Amino acid sequence: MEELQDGVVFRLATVKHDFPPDSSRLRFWHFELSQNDRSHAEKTGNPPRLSVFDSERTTVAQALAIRGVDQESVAFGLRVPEIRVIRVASLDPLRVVRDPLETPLAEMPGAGGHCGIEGLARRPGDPKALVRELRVRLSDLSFPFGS
Amino acid sequence: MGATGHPAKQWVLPDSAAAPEGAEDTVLWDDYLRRLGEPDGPLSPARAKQVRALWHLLEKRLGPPLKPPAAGALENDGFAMSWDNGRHHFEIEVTAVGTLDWFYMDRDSDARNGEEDQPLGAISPGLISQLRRTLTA
Repeated sequence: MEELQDGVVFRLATVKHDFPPDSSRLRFWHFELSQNDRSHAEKTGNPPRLSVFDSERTTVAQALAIRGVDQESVAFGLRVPEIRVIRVASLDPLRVVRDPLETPLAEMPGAGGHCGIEGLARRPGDPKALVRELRVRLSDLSFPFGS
Repeated sequence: MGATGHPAKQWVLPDSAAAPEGAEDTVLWDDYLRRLGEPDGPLSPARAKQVRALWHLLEKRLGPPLKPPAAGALENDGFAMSWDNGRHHFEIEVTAVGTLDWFYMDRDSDARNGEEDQPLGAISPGLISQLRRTLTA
């Protein structure tokens, strides 16, 4: 699986039920693996990955279409080198890897940019606090991302 | 004892102060809380009621006006709140099973603090102390 070393990925966050609704950054709860993320991992046999898109291969509009969500979702960017250098105690470093979608989504424009952040799933024995810190560190790196 | 019937997990690492974030208008926050459990809201009515009760308890213990946090509903009917103030981060999560976790970290040191699986109706002195220090740092 190809691991990204550089560039910017973006994540679509549903913010319509957030307070305040116009946050300029992701919050820790936006890094919770969704049921979709976990289902995708089970289907593919891969580790659970947080869904993001490579900004070099996918536009925000394409990502919104792929995810089937409306403009209530907002894109936030994360620089891959900054993600890669986060270190939290005994947790493995985060990895950003290409994560091919399944058909029919795989045939949509921009689908080739789908990636996943590995390392956010809490493993048996991992203290919950470490995963919480990891999410905070990650959210601190986020920034508003246009198209 | 945690609300799940198991001993409440507790961990306390090096001590520190803390501080907040999210100086949002209290009126908007109150309206947000009120709408959480409405038919088009993100939480079940029961969970929304628990979240409002938790907020009122926090206000009572900390003394109003308590600065509104950044907040969001979780996919599993949980709820999250956070206060950030520079190096200080404080968060509360109402979990899917109706317990409470809280977590504090100082971004510039190893100071961490928190508790897990706490009953919603019994806010610990540790939570109050750390949140107060967060808000006043």
